[in-house]
Amino acid sequence: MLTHFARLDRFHRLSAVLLPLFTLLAVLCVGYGLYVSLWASPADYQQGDAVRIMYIHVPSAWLGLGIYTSTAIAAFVALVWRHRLAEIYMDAAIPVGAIFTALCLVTGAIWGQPIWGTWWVWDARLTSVLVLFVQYIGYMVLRRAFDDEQQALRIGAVLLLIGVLNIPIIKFSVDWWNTLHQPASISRLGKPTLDITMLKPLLWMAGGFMAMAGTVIIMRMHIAMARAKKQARMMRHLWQHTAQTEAAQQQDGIS
Amino acid sequence: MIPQFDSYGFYVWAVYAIACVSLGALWLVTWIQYKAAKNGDKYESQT
Repeated sequence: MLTHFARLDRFHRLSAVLLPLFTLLAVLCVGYGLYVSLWASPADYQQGDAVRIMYIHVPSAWLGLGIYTSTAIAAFVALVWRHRLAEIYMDAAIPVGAIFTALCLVTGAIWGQPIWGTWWVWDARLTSVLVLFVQYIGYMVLRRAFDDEQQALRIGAVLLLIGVLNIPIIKFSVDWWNTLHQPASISRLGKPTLDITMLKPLLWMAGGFMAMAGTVIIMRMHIAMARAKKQARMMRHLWQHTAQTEAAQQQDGIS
Repeated sequence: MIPQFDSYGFYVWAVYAIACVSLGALWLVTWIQYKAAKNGDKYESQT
């Protein structure tokens, strides 16, 4: 299944369908999500309106973690099978994940000020998410630090694979250590501790953010492919020009 | 009920404004680059 869609031509065909679909989903989900987040959902009995920050903060955190995990999987595919689409995906998704992680950190700090009385504490959850953000930045810096494209790609992929160890640390940091950050309200195994009136806007916003991230990543993959194509065309022209010049010089030498 | 611009409301509106501006800018910049790349591709395949 994956190898079927992993061919570049098939990706182009698939993305022609997915791109408008994700854009529409993003507009609808974020639009309705904003309505339920700001108008329809109730204020919390303890936090008041500050609870509405959750509808931006939590989906951003999910996206930050999810995109990193997906790029680590792509890094594994790129290292083992040297798949071009996986390599393109890594480069396209990393800045998007970095923005969502930064948004999670900033909105968390703004939420922390009225509720905890501080913008920042060095507790396990906050610190491990900051480390994730540094990992994102580290990958982008590393990719530009080498002249050899293939070497940069391999080292970047190894960095992503090592860094994926931080994902379970972030997830379980609130259980393993005594943190100021609250434990998970939504888990795969148990019933959510959130009321449905708060769960609804959270899921709408999460769906909208996911669709938006998908749209941006697909567009970035197209941009990367178009640039690579242009570069290849320029190299071909340069090679043809050099070959023609050399042939002309040889002709001059003979005559 | 829409949050008032009081002590907590200020933080709520700040978060929503930051999210809208940053994600909106990300989408817009990417879309402009995407359109430019597509148009460039189309132009070069015609010439």
